[in-house]
Formats: sequence, structure tokens, C-alpha cells
Amino acid sequence: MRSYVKYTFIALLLFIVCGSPANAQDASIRFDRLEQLESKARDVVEVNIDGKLLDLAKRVMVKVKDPEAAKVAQAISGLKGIYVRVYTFANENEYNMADIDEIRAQLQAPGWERMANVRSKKNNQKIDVFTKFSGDQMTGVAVVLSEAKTVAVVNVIGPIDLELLAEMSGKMNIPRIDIESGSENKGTNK
Amino acid sequence: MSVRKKILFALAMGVLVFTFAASPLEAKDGGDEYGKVVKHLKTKYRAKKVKVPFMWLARFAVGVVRPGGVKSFNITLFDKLQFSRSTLDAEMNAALKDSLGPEWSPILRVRSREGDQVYMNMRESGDSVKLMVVTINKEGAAIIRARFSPEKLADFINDPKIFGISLNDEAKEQEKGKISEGHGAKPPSEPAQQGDEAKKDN
Repeated sequence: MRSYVKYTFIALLLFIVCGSPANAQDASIRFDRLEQLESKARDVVEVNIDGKLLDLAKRVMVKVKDPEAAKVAQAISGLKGIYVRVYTFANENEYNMADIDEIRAQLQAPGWERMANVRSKKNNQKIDVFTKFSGDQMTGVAVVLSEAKTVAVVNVIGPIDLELLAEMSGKMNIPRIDIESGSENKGTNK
Repeated sequence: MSVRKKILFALAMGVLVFTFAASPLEAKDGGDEYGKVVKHLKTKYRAKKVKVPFMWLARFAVGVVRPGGVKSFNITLFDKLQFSRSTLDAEMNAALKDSLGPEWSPILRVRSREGDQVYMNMRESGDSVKLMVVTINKEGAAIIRARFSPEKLADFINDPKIFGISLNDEAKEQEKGKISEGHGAKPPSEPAQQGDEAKKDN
């Protein structure tokens, strides 16, 4: 009986240790389709902040004797990666919308939920914010933006504390974010 | 030779040994990667190297003082690059991939059709972090490599000091306040003494 409890405990531990990164990995988007935009785009910005750099940022932030830095360290402590792709085009509709829709299609997979979407006729703007949850914990965020001359995709992998993020907005070079209850529909312009 | 002269001579020899011993170590520890990128820009785009005066002194000073945890750095500037805007990004990507190896992670890449490019790569090296930044524009290019300690960087953020001199604005203002307070406390009837005190404060 004792060994049964012991093995159950070990299995549970393994599940916690191995299960969390796997869940976090699921929140990653495949950017390979976007590479086709590279040759057409006038300007390209690619940001990859993953394991090593995040560990470095955590190491620095933890040592900095500043309460706000400590909060940032806490906010990024679980993050696995931040990836950004921005493509700017010289002329309107120079890219193939199917390439962007392929990214949006990836976010229709089970686990992903659309948190907000904005559709505006001005500049043919489409913004979608998707979140992924594992139980009560948010394990990823994806933002897909397409305009007449711009395409941008942001993918954050790992647990994100929205309350902490809102608290930190406007501090330590973190852009100001106004999160209000029921604000999701305010920005929608269909 | 007096004892004082002997000490000074020993110190000078120590500095010389450090200077010459440190350079090959640095070259072995990633200098080759840097050299490959520099060589690529120089040969592929027939770039002309811009001489930065007293760079050796700045590098030596950084090696000794290690400001902000920076253990070493290198900068190479080029001008008059001859490149094709359409192939530059692909060529640079391939060159960086060949030169830097798989342990380097690309952090940032900015590519513009106008010819402006930025490539930032990073890798861990023991307890240090190596950073390499390559920027290219119409006029020229800059290659910057730095090796720093994240822990020392955090210490520097907590208490920014170089050679014991605080770079912290608050600390500076406090010092200024102390000086002005010191001046304010002096009786106006003793101008000569006031001047002496000011000299002492400075």
C-alpha cells in the first residue's frame, strides 16, 4: 500500500514537472507561413526572446533592489518565450491574406479562445487577441493584427498574470495598458 | 631603486602582463566569431574600416574597471559599403549563421528595403553573457561585441559606481545639497575662510 502511494506521488510529481512546459509549448505559433511575406515586405522586424534571454532578465531583475523590478521578475518568472513579427509593406494589400488567415486558423485549435476582436473599415484593420488556458492559468497569448500595409503577430508563451501586468503598466518602460471590465466590446468597430 | 619605485615598476609590469595576456584569451573566447563577421563585411562589401582613436585604451580601461559588469567589448566601424539591398539580408543571415554557431540565439532582426539592417545575437558563456550587434545602413556599418556579467550588471543598477564615484542622480544631488548646506552655514563676514572651505569641499 505504501509503495502504491509512493509511486502515485512520484507520478504526480513527474506530471507537474514535465506537464507544465508541454502545456506552455502548446501555446506557440508556427511562423513559417509568414516567411513568405519577407520578400514582399518593405520593413521586417523579428524579435525572439526565449529561454536564455528570459533567464538572464530574471537573474538581473531578481538581484535589483527595487520593488517594481521584483514585480517584473515575478511577472516574467513563468514565461517561456516572447516572439514578435512585424511586416510593413510599401503598398496596400501587397500581401496574401491567406497567409494571415493560416495563423488565425492555428488559433482555432482546442484550448485557444478569442478574447477580443476588432474589425475596422479604416485601413482594413483586423485585430484578434487569443488566449490559451490550462485550467485556471493562462499559458499563452497571441495577437494577430493585419492592416492595409502592416501585418503583426505577437506570441507570448507561458503563464501570464494579467492583474500584475495591469499593475505594472506605465512603469519601468512597460507601455500603459488600460484594462477595464467590459472594455472588450468598446473597441470593437464592426 | 627605492621601495616605492620597485612597487611602481611591479605595478606597471603587472598591467603590461594583464594587457598582453588578456588579449589572446579574449580572441580564443569568441574573438574568432567576431573576426569572421568583421571579415565578411570587409571582403564581401569592400568596406573601409574607420579607425577609432584610443580604442585600445578604452578596451583596456573597461577590462580593468568593468563598468556595469562589462568584462570586455569590441567595436569595429566601417564606411563606404558596397552592397545590393535585395540580397544584403539573406547574405548577412547566412554569414551570421556560419560565423556564430548554434549556441548563439538571434534576439532581434530588423530589415528595411532602404538598406538599414540590425542584427542582435546573444549567447551564454559560463557566468557571462556575450552580445553581438551588427548595424548596417546606407553610409556604413558597426559591429559591437560585449561580454558582461548579469550579476555585476544588477549590482551596477543597484548602486551605479565607477571607481567609487556614484553615477546615481539622487546621490549626486544629495552630495550637492551637502555642499550647498556647508556654504550656507558659513558666516558672511568671513569670506576668506569661506573660500578655503569651498576649496576643501571640492
